[in-house]
Amino acid sequence: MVDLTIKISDKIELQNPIMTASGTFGYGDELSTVINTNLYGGIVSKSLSLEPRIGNPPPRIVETPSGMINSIGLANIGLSRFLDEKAKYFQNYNGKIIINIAGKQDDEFYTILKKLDKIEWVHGFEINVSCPNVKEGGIQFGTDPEFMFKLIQPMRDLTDKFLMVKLSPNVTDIAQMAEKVQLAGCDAVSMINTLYGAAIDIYSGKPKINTVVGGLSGPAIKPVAIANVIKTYKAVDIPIVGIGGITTGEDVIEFLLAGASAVELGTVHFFNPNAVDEILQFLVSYCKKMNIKRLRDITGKAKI
Amino acid sequence: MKNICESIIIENTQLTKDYWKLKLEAPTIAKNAKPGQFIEIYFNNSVKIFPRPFSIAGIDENNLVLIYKIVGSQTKKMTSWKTGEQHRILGPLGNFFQINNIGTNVLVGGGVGTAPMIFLRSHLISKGLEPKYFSGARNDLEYFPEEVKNSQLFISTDDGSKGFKGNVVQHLEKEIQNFKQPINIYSCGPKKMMEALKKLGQKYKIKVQLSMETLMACGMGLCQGCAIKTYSKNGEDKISLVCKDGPIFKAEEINFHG
Ligand SMILES: Cc1cc2nc3c(=O)[nH]c(=O)nc-3n(C[C@H](O)[C@H](O)[C@H](O)COP(=O)(O)OP(=O)(O)OC[C@H]3O[C@@H](n4cnc5c(N)ncnc54)[C@H](O)[C@@H]3O)c2cc1C
Ligand SMILES: Cc1cc2nc3c(=O)[nH]c(=O)nc-3n(C[C@H](O)[C@H](O)[C@H](O)COP(=O)(O)O)c2cc1C
Ligand code: FES
Repeated sequence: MVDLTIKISDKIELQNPIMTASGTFGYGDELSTVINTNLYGGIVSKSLSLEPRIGNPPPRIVETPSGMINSIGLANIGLSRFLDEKAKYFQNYNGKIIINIAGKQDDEFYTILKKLDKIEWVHGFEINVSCPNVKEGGIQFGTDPEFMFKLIQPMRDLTDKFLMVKLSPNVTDIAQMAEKVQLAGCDAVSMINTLYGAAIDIYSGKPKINTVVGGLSGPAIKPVAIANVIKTYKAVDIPIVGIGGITTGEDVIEFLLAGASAVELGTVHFFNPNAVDEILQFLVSYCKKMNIKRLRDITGKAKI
Repeated sequence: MKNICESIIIENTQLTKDYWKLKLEAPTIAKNAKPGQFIEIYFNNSVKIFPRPFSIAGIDENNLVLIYKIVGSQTKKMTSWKTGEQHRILGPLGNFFQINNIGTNVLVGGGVGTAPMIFLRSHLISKGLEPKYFSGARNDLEYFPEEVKNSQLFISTDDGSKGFKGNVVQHLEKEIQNFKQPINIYSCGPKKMMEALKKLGQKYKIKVQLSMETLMACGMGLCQGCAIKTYSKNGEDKISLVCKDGPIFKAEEINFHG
């Protein structure tokens, strides 16, 4: 028997290292009639804000070589509707449930955190710091180490549940950001969020998405994500959850070797909704072939 | 309920210069599909990663019929697909047309918008209704539906090379006073045509249902990428997802100027 279980800190144990990436899996239940969603180790929700957000105007997506650019603008139904409509599904869900939070200012993050801390089926949090801070003129929380530290430090006092910060690759040094996450007492970091990207229609001369610059994701960004995980693994002791362009089981192994303890699947859901099934089958066969008893033992074992 | 499956190609034939008909065996999807719904086709292409959406143009026992136009790389690729090959598809997706059993059902389609109209027409005929079908195009090189029993076909082309000379909405307006009330219009086609139909609907107080198109990534409500600008019941600005809230919308819901 191959052991796929994995601990991300002492607070969360997953049946396997595969989770969903925020914003690429709806609210968690959309695919439940198409695939077996219980196969995941955990589900990370769409980024939630206190009030509903309609998001950015169209066009919001464009296909780019081996990837896509999006400018959804954190459109979501808001915290209360999420709790009203999804509680039933999540209460009966096998895996772990991690709620991704995106606020416009510090207080919004804290209010959501306090509310969800009391809810039993919520196992942990992923803090999205790649969103604009309206109080500070729209600059992203996650671009400056001190700025981000100020946001996340008070969070540790608000919840004992699993607390993870999702980092943006659009910074000078992601490892430095991860050090701040560790210093703030958080349990893990996840990386990467989308990269800056833009595309122009050569006939109309117009940008292909409304915000001009959006977030690049998909297979194209995997090498960037792997490089960031390698760098961060050297810099911090807290676990890393790897995200970025994962399509196959081979990709997952690559992330684990680079230093990730678990991973999240994102854009792949759009072109292969059943990827999780294929990936799990590969993980088992890989472990057998390589004589690995516990998958978690390979984290950080790249010969670097 | 939506289903993902490896469909088998039964038939793939050229209809006109740019239009093809594809018949796929997909029993579960075929059993559940309703006129107006669509499927996503997966291409297993690591450079162009998105699946592509296609309206269901008909059901033939266990099979789905699609009508597709070559516009880019994936539709070009589809023309090389051979009988017996397997291709992964997801469906049926989206909502569907709301059918009215009284008065006159008027279908308006042009070009690629013909596909869902053909499915709707056969559905209406199977219920004993006699829809009027307006099909318009720039010229006679486009694809037009075939005449079938109990369906009156009205053809128009911009250049007069086939049928009525003028656009399909002008053609419809010319005929409309001859139709029994209440009239219900169902349509799929270019934005300009659908906007003109919205105006026509307002002018004659006719209910109009429109099938909208946008670029899609997932096709099932995961990404929120297929947004269009719409109006709520109270006329407030709203955003709707074509793949989940649509593709069928009431004409008054659509903000064509967004
Ligand atoms: C709900 C829905 C139902 C559809 N039903 C049909 C159908 O029954 N038959 C059919 O032939 N096509 C249909 N389409 C359009 C079809 O999905 C596109 O033509 C196809 O995705 C193009 O793929 P491609 O790789 O060949 O072209 P690409 O190389 O991706 O694009 C080539 C050109 O086509 C345009 N294009 C791409 N996607 C779309 C789109 N979704 N709508 C309009 N233009 C597009 C691009 O802007 C570009 O100019 C439907 C689209 C939607 C959203
Ligand atoms: C359409 C779309 C919407 C996304 N929405 C969110 C979001 O709401 N919150 C968030 O933290 N990340 C969001 N992301 C980023 C993903 O969670 C992920 O970090 C990124 O896409 C890289 O992984 P991938 O290449 O596997 O998709 C979104 C990505 C996409 C493509
Ligand atoms: S295409 Fe993804 S939500 Fe509609």
